[in-house]
Amino acid sequence: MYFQDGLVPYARWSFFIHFLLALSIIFIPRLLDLGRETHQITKVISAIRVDVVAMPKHTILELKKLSAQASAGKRDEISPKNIGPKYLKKGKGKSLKDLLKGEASKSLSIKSKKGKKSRVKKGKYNKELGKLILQGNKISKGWAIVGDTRAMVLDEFEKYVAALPDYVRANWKLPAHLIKKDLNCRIQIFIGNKGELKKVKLFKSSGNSEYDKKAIEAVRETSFPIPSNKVRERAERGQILLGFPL
Amino acid sequence: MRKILILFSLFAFVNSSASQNLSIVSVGEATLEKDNIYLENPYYKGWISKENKKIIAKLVKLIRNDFSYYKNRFLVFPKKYKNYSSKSSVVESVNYVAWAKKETNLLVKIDFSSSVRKEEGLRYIARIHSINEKKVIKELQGTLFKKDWRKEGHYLSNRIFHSITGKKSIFNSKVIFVSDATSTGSGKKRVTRKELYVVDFDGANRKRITHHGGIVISPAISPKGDKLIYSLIKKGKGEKRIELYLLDLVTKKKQVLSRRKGLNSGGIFFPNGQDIFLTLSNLGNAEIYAMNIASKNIRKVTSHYASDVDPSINSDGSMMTFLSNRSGKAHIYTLDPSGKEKAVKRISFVGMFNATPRFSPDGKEIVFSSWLDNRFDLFKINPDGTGLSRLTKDFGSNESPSFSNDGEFIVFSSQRIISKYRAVQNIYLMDRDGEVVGPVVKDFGNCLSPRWTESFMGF
Repeated sequence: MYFQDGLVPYARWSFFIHFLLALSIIFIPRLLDLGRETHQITKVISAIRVDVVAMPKHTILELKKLSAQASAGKRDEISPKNIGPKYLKKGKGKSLKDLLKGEASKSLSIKSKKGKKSRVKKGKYNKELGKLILQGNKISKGWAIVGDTRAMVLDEFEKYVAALPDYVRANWKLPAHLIKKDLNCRIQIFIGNKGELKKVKLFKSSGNSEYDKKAIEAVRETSFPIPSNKVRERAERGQILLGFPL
Repeated sequence: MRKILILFSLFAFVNSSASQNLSIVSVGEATLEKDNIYLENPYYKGWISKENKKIIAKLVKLIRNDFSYYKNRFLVFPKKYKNYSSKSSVVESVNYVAWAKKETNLLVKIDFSSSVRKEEGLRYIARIHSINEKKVIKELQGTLFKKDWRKEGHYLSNRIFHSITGKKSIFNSKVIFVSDATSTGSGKKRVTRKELYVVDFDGANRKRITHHGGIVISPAISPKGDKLIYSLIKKGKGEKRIELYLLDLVTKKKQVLSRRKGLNSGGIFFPNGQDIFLTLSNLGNAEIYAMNIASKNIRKVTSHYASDVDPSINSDGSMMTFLSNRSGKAHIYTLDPSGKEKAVKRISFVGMFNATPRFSPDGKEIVFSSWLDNRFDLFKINPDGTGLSRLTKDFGSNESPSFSNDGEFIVFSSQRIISKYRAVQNIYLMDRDGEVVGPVVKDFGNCLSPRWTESFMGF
């Protein structure tokens, strides 16, 4: 026994009072400031790096059309596999010549399918956009994080989140009387394994119900990309906020 | 102690549930939703003559046509135009719920009444109803005269547009351009004459401005629309001179501003309307100079062994863009026009031959033409050299772009080869993204060098 019998009740009371004091330090500010966000929010943006190497082959209208078609059709899974160059896999016992032969036959088979329109999949527009990138309009797509203007490598989840504005933006429209106002709202989205929208929650209202409604409508009208395995859990738990405009 | 443990676990739970990791991404600014605007049949108050009814019908048709230019902003209803006839003698009250079901956002009702005296014209009241807000957002009154019905129609269109958007429209604008329509003869006997003309933005009301009987090139109009500068090519004995003229559109008096040896061309107005910038080559090399109209004193703005031509100034006069071959090819540059060779920056790095760079009214974009695939096409670029994008393709050879006063449209000349010996050049209008709205001037000789102006005095 470190304490004498007479001091034990005193020590208990002292501990209890100090514990309550610690709790009050943590909770009272929260109770007084109810509007404060208790979430840890990371801002993510996508960035496009444009290297101009020639006059653009495609007009703004052509690019818009392709972009809209791609946005409507693309449901590709976003993962690092889909980003960056694709390298030829070296197989056992295969020479470089064999590999090139294989690639050549692939391109030939694509050519033979050209006439068959019915076989063209929705992913066609992504391929066309890919071609545009090589034609001088856009060279490469990169990722960067806001807050630190130096480009940072984003994790897979952040890459998924950063890609979402491209999907939502086509549906984000406001009437003239709202577009003039400086409003802002945030929508929390819960995305399922197949990219389906499971739940939409108004995380922060703009204070204008019509504006909030338009933002929610834009989200509901969007076909979201399929999250990869590593992203699924967080997407399903609703760890994504869409800022309208931020 | 048990109580303390319970409190501890509660504390831990509260804290863990409050700190969820969220990632936020900006969707960006919304695009503007189109407004469905319904222009109702006109209402007549009292007796209106048959002749006046015809004018009213034309006026309503003109307003409808004006709004159709902004097809990214408005959908004009009813979709099919029939001859507007009297709706009723009394302005009916608006059933907002019924209009909302038709997905109409805006409803315009105009009622006309005759003045007691004929010379006082027709009086009108236009009411703009916001269906969403269930109220009249603006009531506009005016007088319509038979001889000025087009002008009044554009004026009313502009007031309606401004009431809805809070911005100025293109409806009061005009386009000045050069045409060789007065040329005579053909083949070796052909005598080419190029004169200046002015036309409403919708192609109506074309008028001739100059009568030199020579070749007029590169016109420019002052910001107030009261002065015009242009160059005139004069062929003398063994030499060709290019002189710069100033035409006062109010007094109709013209004077030579510069007749130095060589080039006196490519003149543009500084935003103050008192100074101009022009290209002179009297010292052997084409350089850009600033000139005060009143004193005719000149100041060198570019100074380089390469040729510098085709200046364009942004609306606050803080930046000039121009064409120079100082890199070996014709490329676009910017500089601060307040000094000599001040803050020169090259902004175009691709293209075989770039030409006629022109600032947008807000100064955020520069439109220019560039030689590509054996013809000129139009492109846009930001003044910092970013955002290069293409506007035209497979639409003839397109040159001389000029932004509209609101920056939403670009007027340009487009040439089509008809045969080995014949080509036609017309003036077209497109929106800022390159969607062609239609011709402004067609089948009027070869038309070139269009310049947009919000105001034009004296004609």
